[in-house]
Amino acid sequence: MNYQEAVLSQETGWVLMVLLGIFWIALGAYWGRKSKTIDDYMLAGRNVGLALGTATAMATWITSNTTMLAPQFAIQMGIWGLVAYSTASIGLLLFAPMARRIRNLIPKGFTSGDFVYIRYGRATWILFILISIFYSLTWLVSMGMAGGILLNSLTGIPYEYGVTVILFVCVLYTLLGGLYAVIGTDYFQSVIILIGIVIIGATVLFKLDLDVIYIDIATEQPALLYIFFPPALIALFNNLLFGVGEITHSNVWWSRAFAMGKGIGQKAYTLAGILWVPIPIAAGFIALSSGSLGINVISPDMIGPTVASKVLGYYGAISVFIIIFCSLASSIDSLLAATSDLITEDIYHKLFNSHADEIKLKKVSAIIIILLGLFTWIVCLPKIGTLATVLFFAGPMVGSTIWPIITGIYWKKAGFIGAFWGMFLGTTCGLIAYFVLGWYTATLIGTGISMLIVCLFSFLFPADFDWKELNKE
Amino acid sequence: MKTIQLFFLIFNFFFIYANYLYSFDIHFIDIPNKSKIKTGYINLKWDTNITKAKDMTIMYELEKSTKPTFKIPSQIYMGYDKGTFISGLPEGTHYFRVRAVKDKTEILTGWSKPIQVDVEYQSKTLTISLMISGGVIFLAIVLVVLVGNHLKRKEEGEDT
Repeated sequence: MNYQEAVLSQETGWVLMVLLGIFWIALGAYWGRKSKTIDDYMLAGRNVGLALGTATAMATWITSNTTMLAPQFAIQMGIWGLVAYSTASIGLLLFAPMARRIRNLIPKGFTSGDFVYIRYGRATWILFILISIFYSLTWLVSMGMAGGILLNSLTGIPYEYGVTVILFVCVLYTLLGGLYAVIGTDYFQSVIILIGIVIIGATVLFKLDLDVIYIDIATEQPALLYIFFPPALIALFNNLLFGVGEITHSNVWWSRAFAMGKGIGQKAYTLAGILWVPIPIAAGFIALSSGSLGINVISPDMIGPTVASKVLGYYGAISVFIIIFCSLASSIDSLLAATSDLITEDIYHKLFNSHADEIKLKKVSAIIIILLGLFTWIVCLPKIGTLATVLFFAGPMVGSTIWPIITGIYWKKAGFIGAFWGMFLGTTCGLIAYFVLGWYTATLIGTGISMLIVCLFSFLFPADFDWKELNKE
Repeated sequence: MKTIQLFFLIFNFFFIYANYLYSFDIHFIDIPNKSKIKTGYINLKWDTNITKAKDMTIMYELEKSTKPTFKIPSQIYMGYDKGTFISGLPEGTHYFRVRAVKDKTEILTGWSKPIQVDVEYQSKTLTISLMISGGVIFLAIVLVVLVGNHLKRKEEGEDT
């Protein structure tokens, strides 16, 4: 039913996609030369500096969701929706002090699963791994779908081809260079995204008349300007907690905390959080101008790229294409690497082959990257649901991990019973809320229930954890 | 005689035009089955039985009104797409209808059967309670992280 025209021709789309693909694969292979040991492959030698550390944190957090969901939030929930999405930066800012603590507590760790296993034992670890892998796969699938939708909308390239190319490119360069390749390409991708967003934001701002936009919204979509707009206000903390939960538990961020040199993590995550804030605001703002520009919105998750490319014309559309390709690649590669680490280290190494040597682990990690790519590709092809519904289903799960993780890092008295039941009941209640009240309450309720349970058990049945346990081989 | 001929000519014209107009149909599809919309946004899609060759030049006009009679309608879309996304709807009942036109002037179908959309946001009590809960949970997380970090830094400093 979508008859909106593509701004770029299919030929231009293919040329751009092939050129960018070759560039990232070559760069991945170049950076991957350093990767000799399993520490290099999984954690980039554990000595990533401030510039690369900041860039990789920022680029990974600028996902297709930033370019697609932030405008969608703005057009669905107005000004509050814009604020709600930008609160995702708080996750990065909060993780900054935690990254420092994690690096000090568990200097030889590989994954977030390692921490949960030692800190809370096997039962909690199994539940955590299930949540973490489900979330990673959901995120991966939403990125793959976003790639297909965006490339189709901008260039007319069939959805299936777009998904296939973006996944193939990311799998190949992650395979070639592991986390070295991911962080190296992230650096270039974050520079391109930042410069691009600043140029697009400034151009759109100069081209648009703010008064006209305001009058149009006030007349046609008055609720978007309400100060008390219930759906947006409810989504505000839900989204904030979702962002915090995503970063707190996910191995994508833990692996970077382990990979950064001593004393780097806190600064890098703080800087990345600050640099990230304007990006969803700029991306969301342009969506609000669609009405005054006479642009018909068919699919709300496509509004950002559609408005940007129509306002900026042909070359603008090329810039949008490059930025989106970079933001997708920078998240897909990180997810492939971090999820593969989680499965290799936490499932294969811990459960099936505890005596596996470095060469074997590296080989398994590479196979898992390929399998993850294949899995994502198969799930993406039928194009299920919108981005928000796919991703927010994981919200209550990640929200329920916040309290077990933060108390596990800072409180000796946090024990495994509170952690396990906090995650289990938080997830269950959050999912019930998802279906009964709506997706915009699920993470909030999941996190709240988990908080109550973790705090209750920590005070009623306090544990006495020895921090040195985490520093053992 | 000429007056009668002219009368028949005009009558025929209107008869043929009316037949032409109503031989094509337009209707909304995938209408949300929720009785009340709590988010203030809706995706509207429509379809028509106008033949494909003509379809290329067809435009669609979508109107909104707060009255089922469309007494004071407002045009919210005129274009080639067979769907649109509408957001920021204030609370209350809204009616939508669509028709197909050619070159913005020639009407190809009559108005579709209107659809009724009832917008009712979440209650103030629910909104405020969820906001307060969210604020408390978030502040508690910030406190645990910042206080915890401060204390652990002190401990680590004492250790070294």
